Amino acid sequence: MRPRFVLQEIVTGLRRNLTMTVAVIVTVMISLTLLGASMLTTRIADRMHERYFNELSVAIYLKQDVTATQKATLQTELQADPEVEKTLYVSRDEALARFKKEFADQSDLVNSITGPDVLPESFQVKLKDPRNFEDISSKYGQQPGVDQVYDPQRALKPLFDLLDGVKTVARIVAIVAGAAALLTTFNTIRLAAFSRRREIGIMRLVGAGNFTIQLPFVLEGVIAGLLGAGAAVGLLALFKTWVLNGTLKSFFAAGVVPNATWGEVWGVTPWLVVLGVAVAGAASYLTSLVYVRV
Amino acid sequence: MIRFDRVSKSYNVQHRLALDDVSVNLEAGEFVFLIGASGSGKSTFLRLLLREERPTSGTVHVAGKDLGRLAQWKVPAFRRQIGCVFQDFRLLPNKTVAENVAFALDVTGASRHKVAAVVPEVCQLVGLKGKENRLPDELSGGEQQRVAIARAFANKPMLLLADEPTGNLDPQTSIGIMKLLDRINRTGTTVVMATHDAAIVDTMRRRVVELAGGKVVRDQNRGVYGYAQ
Repeated sequence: MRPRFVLQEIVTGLRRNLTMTVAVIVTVMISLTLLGASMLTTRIADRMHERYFNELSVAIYLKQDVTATQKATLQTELQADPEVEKTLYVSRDEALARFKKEFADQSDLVNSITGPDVLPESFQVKLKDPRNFEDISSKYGQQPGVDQVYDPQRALKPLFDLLDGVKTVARIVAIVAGAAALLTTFNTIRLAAFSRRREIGIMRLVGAGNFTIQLPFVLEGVIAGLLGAGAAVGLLALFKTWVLNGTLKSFFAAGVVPNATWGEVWGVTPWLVVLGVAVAGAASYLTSLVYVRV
Repeated sequence: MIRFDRVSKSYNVQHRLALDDVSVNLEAGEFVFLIGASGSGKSTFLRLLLREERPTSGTVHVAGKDLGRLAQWKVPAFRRQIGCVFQDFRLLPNKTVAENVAFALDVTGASRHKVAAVVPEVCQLVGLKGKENRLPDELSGGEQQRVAIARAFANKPMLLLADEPTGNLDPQTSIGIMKLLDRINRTGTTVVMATHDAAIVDTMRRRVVELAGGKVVRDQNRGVYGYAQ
């Protein structure tokens, strides 16, 4: 099989079938873009989980009138608690310093804190298993001198729910668009086989094997899949440049939700390319089995 | 070369047989006319030779191979040994004469070197020298059939099947095509030609196998179209 001959057949096929080929490329692009978006969202959520679950600790805020004895008792109990990994006492001054550092870019907020009395003292408790927050809360919440037990994960729950929602929606639309891409590929190859039935008949007569007859169809699908995947990667890159790094810049600057890095964007591209090529190629192969029977 | 041994073929169980207990032997290098009315089984005969169909009963041997037992994946290699020519030429309209001829070589994986050598040679043989770059619709019917013959002959087949190759051509052009088929036959290629053209059969005086209702009703060396005494 000479490559030039196969190439010529593919180019002829793609050109003759241009509108359908474009339809395949567009549907593949849409489904892969959404799949890529859902993968990126997953990575962002994972990163958030890692950050908040591993770095942040449960805060046990103390009352203004807490006594030194109460503090000492609490600290001893916490250190002896098997569920606690690490305990850190944060004084009012330290709390203020932390606050100033964390919100350094929001001067209005920082200026509104007038003295060290505004922020309470606290124990920052790191749990061995962050899911055991409820135990800590019930055990220490009613202790003398304790104002309240605060779990930052709980406050972030709506945010995780939002990310989960984005992920789910993107995934569902990706699946629906993927199904559309499959059907379009199927139809395109069927049309290609139909418009080339004369060539196929002649190829059979002169003794061309299945491989020779099917190869141009499969490669047509693979090329369309590759172009669709390439367009999807391009769209994701544009989305990163214009939306994530542009429109939503200040949203990410607040530091609550981390932005997707370029590394993560490029990290999902091999998956999209492999998936686009494999799915379009497989769909073309199966269709050609049915419609290019030798 | 070709042996039909008590071959019957029915396309549909309730229907009558397209071929009914046909036994016939064709020697290598023979030129055989297959005649008979429409529906007499000529096309089925050719389709069995091409292994487009398998016999319902009996065996078809071509070049020592039992086609009924030939594995599906071996069919393409088998067909490369057979050239086919049809009444409607079956050329690719968007390819030139040379590309149409090269097509038969391309799909079998021939090297570019071989294609470059064989195509001009075959075009010359069929009398199309100088028209290699024409498209089929720029050629006359006779010339188009010559392209089809060139394509069929490009792989140097041992057997050439022709299904009414002169059916769409005027008598004068038909004679030219017959001379060409005769010349190919002289290179050692067995030729089986289904035809309705009485004048050609009577002029050539070759072996005639006549089918009627799926049975061989006449098998005659140096035969004519009509019933000879």
